[in-house]
Amino acid sequence: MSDSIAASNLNYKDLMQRQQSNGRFVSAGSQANKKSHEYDFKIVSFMLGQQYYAIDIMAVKEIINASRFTRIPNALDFVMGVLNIRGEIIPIINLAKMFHLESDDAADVERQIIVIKIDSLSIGLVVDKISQVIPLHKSDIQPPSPLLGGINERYIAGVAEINSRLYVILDIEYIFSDKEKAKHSTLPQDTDLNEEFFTFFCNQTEELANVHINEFNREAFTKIYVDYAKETNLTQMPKLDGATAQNMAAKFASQYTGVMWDKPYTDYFTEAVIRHLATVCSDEIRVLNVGCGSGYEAYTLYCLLCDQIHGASVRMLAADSNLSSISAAPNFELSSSQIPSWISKDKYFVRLGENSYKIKREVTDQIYFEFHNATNIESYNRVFDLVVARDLSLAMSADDFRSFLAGVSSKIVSGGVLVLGDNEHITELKGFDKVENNHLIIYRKN
Amino acid sequence: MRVEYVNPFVESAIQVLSSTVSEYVKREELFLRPKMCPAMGVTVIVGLAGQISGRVIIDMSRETGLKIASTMNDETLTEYDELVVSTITELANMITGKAVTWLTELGFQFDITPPALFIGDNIQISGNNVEVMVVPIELPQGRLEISIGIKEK
Repeated sequence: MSDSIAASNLNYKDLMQRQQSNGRFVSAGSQANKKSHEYDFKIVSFMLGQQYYAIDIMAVKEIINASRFTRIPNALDFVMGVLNIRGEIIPIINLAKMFHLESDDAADVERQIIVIKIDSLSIGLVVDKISQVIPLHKSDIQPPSPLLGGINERYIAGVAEINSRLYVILDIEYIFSDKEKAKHSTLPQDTDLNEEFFTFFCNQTEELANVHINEFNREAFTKIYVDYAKETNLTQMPKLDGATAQNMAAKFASQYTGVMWDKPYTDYFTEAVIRHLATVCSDEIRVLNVGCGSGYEAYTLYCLLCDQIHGASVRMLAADSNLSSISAAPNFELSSSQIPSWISKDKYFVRLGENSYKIKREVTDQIYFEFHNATNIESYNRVFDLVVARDLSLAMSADDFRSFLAGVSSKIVSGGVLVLGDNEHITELKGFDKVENNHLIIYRKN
Repeated sequence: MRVEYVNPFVESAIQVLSSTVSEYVKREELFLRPKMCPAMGVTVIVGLAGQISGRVIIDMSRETGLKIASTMNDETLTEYDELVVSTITELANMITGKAVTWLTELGFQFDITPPALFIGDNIQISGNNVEVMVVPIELPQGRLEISIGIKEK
């Protein structure tokens, strides 16, 4: 261990100099900063691969150069080893590898390490090149754009453009509180379900399948994980590829996602939801379908409601945040094999050719398709009798989903029904009665 | 934002910008903002009226605005004089006008109000709780953000 002690030569002097020269261009670049000492906070910038990243200086304890870390057997692949700094053993993490960015990871080269302190835990981050300390105004920071790619958007606190160079500011606390389990560099021995593996499994699924695993769907993912572990006979840290991760997310999806619903599910739905709605609604049924994708769910609901409640008119608002699928929805076309037998082809579809059908204009006119991301339900100036939002918790963070539920609660009439995904687990929803039968769980506004 | 409205605005922005400013127009992915947003320095607002109400906001930095105006006038402009202001205003008018013409052809009744241009630092624009679709556009002259907020009546 002793040979791994690094010379903790602090580069403060160098950093101070850089910062002074730096203060000049920041004040010149931003009109808001007239003087260089007027700043809200400072960031330490560094390079990973070809890009610039930065973290808040308040999290940084020191900067060291070191090589020859003590390797840990069977560690996660982004843990390069441990290092003894003045008696404290800290894990060394290769940030580029953790985010699946390209980087050189030769072990013996001397590397620059940023030692950060989060709560009481010190972690060493190996970066490619530390560049400078930059004082910043809050207003210089723009929220992350979903286009950034590379590092998962959620780990990014913001983006700042300084001197025509883009700095991605990482939310270091979030990264390491999220990867809480990953920072321990030893592995447990048992091969059963254990939290360590599961957290890692979730992180990979989240990153590769671009979904959110949160309190509303974690339970279902625990089951999916157990199956996966059994299937693959998991003995070491799970390592998912993109396709597997997508597959795991698809296992979570409710029945008939991306296709027209068929019996018996439609019967269950009629029984639980539509019978009840028929007693509450007058002649118009107002429906909100969030996450309608390219329209399968919206059109199924429309057909089902029209069939089951005679003489009622259905007005539907169908929204999705995926622009390409929602754009296709108003011109919905199906082959005859995709239309389940309970739907009358003549009533709802126009025959285009031998085998292809297009939804009738009268139907499309009753459905208002919208490009919308469900975080702003409050902006609707109308109320609904039925809200169908299946598997939305996958697409939103826990907080966003919680505010979505609160928004729905204010937009649904008394006696109205909320339907969530089959695998979404909500113990209690304020203002709603949970009605559960063998096949379906619905929430009735009281 | 109704899906039928999305394409006319995106397409008209690209067509107008590529024929008047630069052929290297790059559209980045659209996104939604829950509310109106902070402005970058130069902002043109065009109101929409008719069967809907709303507004189109074209937002850019001062530098980008000057460069765009310079390109469109084929001379180097260095300050916000009348020419620059009317060039940028006209650009906004063209983009919105084309989109609205297009929407009218699709059967939606829209009208536009005369554009208004604002220049200043730390401007915040707030709309009455209308969700906004943002079309980010990258030009050699800089970055533009076109925000479209439409409320159905």
